[in-house]
Amino acid sequence: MKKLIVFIFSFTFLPFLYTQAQNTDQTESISEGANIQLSRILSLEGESEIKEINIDVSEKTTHLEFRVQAIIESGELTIEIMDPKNRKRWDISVGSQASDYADEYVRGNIQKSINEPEAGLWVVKIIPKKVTCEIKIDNIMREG
Amino acid sequence: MILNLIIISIIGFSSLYSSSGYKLENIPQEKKQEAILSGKIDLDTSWDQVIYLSLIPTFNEMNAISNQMIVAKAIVDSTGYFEFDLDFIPEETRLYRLHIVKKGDNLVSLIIGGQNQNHTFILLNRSMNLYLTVPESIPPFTNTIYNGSEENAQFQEVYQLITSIEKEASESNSAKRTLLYQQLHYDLITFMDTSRFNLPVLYAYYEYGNYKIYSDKAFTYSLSERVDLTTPYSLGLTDIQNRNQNSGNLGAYYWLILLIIPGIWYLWQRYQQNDTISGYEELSVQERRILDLLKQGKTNQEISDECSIAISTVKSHVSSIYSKLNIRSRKEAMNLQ
Repeated sequence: MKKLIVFIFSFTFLPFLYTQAQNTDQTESISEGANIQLSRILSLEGESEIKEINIDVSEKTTHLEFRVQAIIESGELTIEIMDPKNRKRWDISVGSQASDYADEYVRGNIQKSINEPEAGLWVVKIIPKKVTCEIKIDNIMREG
Repeated sequence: MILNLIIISIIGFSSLYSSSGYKLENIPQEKKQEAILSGKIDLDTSWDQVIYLSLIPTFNEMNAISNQMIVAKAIVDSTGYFEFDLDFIPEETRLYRLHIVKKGDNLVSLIIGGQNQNHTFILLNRSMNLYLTVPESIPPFTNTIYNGSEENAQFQEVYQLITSIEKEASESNSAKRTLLYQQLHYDLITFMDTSRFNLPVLYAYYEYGNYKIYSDKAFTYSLSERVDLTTPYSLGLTDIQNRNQNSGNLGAYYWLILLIIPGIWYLWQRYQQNDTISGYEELSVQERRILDLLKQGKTNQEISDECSIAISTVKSHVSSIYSKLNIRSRKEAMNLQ
């Protein structure tokens, strides 16, 4: 009888232990290095309205990277990357107007990264001036 | 006493406008020669063998590109040699940018950061004959040597200082980043204090605003006295000088107001006294008698009784007295001397 009770107890308890071990592994794998990559593509046509893309950076973020590519057909585009204290950290301005060097499009790329970024809301500010363009914004955050 | 105050104030005003410091050297222009920008650049096969020159109108546009900014292009030959004829550029030193583009890419292309950063900055004027050596590197232009131009060497010194600190800061934790920026603040001040070239100093000042850990108005003002503020690259300092001049003017105005108000009050008091004296001489005998009774605090009835005149007559005389002496009440009459 005693042996039966021990057997039944073990039979019910062991799977619980196994499940806990699995959960710990999953937790560890997440904490060891989760990469979050966000990509956005915006197409603007003759627009002048300022747009903002908010990126919430947590305390756990150890690395933050921005890659912005803009191809302008016409007009002007300025992209500013603001930190949580609303300071402009990086910027690029791209414009296309009539000139001897006029061509189909104008391209601007900015690639910047920072370790242990300030936690809070980082903002990618898009300031168009009658611009027709396509913008690709890649944002990579590494945690743990 | 007023005269003494005025003299002291004049001395004070002149001290408000005293200046200190030394002027940046007027670097004598080199003997007139053909203005050429040339050099040798090692590019791998992923890049187009063309190099473009753009005019950067102000420091705010260092990260801007448009087809309108490009002023010239040069073909890079098989040996890597390129040459720009600079006869069309202005006499005064301005900031320019050289950039290259990847094969298949549009010529108006600016890449900031990363291994494909495709540009560098250069100071040029029509008197320069400048030769660049650009060894192969990733990104290109990393190890560019500006032969024969101390001004460009100094500009690159501050540009590389900021770039390298920013790179190190981005790879460091927040505590180290704070220390790096603090050191950069002091390094920029040292550079501004020791460099003898206008544009490198102005560029250092432009970037200094991003890393300033404390405000030093005296330093900034003395810097504004040394640099050439007519250049479009001096925007921030021009504002500071205008503000300082305005605040200096305001200081003078405050002094004037402090002097003028007591002076006006004194003169007004003297005028009122003179007015009273001349008014008294116009009073009739009866009015002077009634004035004496007013000074004693007598009522109209008491005055009427004492002078044996009707109250209405008393009131009439009192009104005349007020008018001639330019007073408005019995109280003022009692205070007259």
